[in-house]
Amino acid sequence: MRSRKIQAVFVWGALAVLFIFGGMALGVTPFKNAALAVLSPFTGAMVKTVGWFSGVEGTIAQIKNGYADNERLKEENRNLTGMLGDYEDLKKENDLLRKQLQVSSSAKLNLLLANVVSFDPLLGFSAALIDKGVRDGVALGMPVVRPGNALVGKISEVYAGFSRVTLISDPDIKVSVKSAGSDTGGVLSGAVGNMLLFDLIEKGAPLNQGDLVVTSGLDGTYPKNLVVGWVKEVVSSEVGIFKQAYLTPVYAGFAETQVFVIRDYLK
Amino acid sequence: MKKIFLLFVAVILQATIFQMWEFYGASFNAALALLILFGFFGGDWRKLVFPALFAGMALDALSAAPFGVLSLDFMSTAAFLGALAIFFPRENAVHFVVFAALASAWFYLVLFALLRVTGFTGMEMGSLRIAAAITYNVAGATLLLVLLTKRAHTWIIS
Repeated sequence: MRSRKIQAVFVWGALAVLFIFGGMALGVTPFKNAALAVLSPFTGAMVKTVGWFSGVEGTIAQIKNGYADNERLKEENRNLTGMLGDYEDLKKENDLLRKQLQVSSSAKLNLLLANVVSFDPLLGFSAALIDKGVRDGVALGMPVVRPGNALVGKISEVYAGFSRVTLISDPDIKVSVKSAGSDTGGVLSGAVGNMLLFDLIEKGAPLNQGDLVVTSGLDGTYPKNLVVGWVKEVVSSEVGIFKQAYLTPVYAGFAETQVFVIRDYLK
Repeated sequence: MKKIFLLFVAVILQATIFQMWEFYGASFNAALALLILFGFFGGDWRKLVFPALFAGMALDALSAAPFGVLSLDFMSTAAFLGALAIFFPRENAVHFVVFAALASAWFYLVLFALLRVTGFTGMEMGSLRIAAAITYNVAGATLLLVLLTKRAHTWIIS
């Protein structure tokens, strides 16, 4: 009886080792793709349900703050309407100058709509799975954005029908960013608690709470002017030549279940 | 089949809704918590290994970690739970908390070791994150135990 137990332990152990090293050696994307095809309807439905509840929660919060938000938005609308006239003049001038200098206007991006079907069960809110893959023209390194030109992350793994997106909240992702108003540049990475860390900012460079931060395009990985977040807190120590800032991300995660893959930016 | 169905539900919830609530970079590992419950009340590792393999494979498909890491980790945890069930008393809630803490610690230490061996750098497993994950799982497993009605508990372990 005891020898049968020991035998069973060895058999299971050998199978497990074979499984893991065999899987690594042979390449497992067909298996992963098949497993995801089975799991994704369930995880996708849960993500949509969670997204719906997050949206409802947001709406309830908005109703509570309704009057104050309404007044603020009316004021913003008045200011923006006033700026429209200037915008139209600037646009005409820009088009004319481009024509005279024979410079083409910035190309429209080739966007592919995808649904978020799952988040990484161990990495937490650092990676997500979407339902588009090699079959749909997705490739490694492609940037991913959400409606409103907000940066979500980039493609880090591709299977036949699914892809993994590493979100900008992952500490290993580095993005070259700047503040929209003052052009203060630095490097963005993820931080604990779903915050974003804006690092390597020159100490003397202007940066204030509430400033909008966007991609600078200098790293060549992400198009420029994709919205990343707002400055929540600027941290500056007496030693060191750089300061840091913590950002509140624009990408709300669970409330947004549809994203776009930018297919042609890397070419 | 019952265990596999419950683990399937746990994996779906773990990859979706439970990611909303993180604690120092760790989220609730529902599949591990359920396995700990099965181990504490069931005890026989032979009845745990196959469901553990299933849960591990499903999580391997959803996770960025190298394929097979979670399958191996869950299977080793099932074997550890079986061994623990032989030598460790399982009479009250305090025993359960200690049992869950030991099993969670085993799971995350094995995971850390496997990620090192495979050279995977996409998951930072610092001591704070491991400690947070163990704490979160013990709390979650204990809460699950408290919330289970006697009928549900009998159904799960029968």
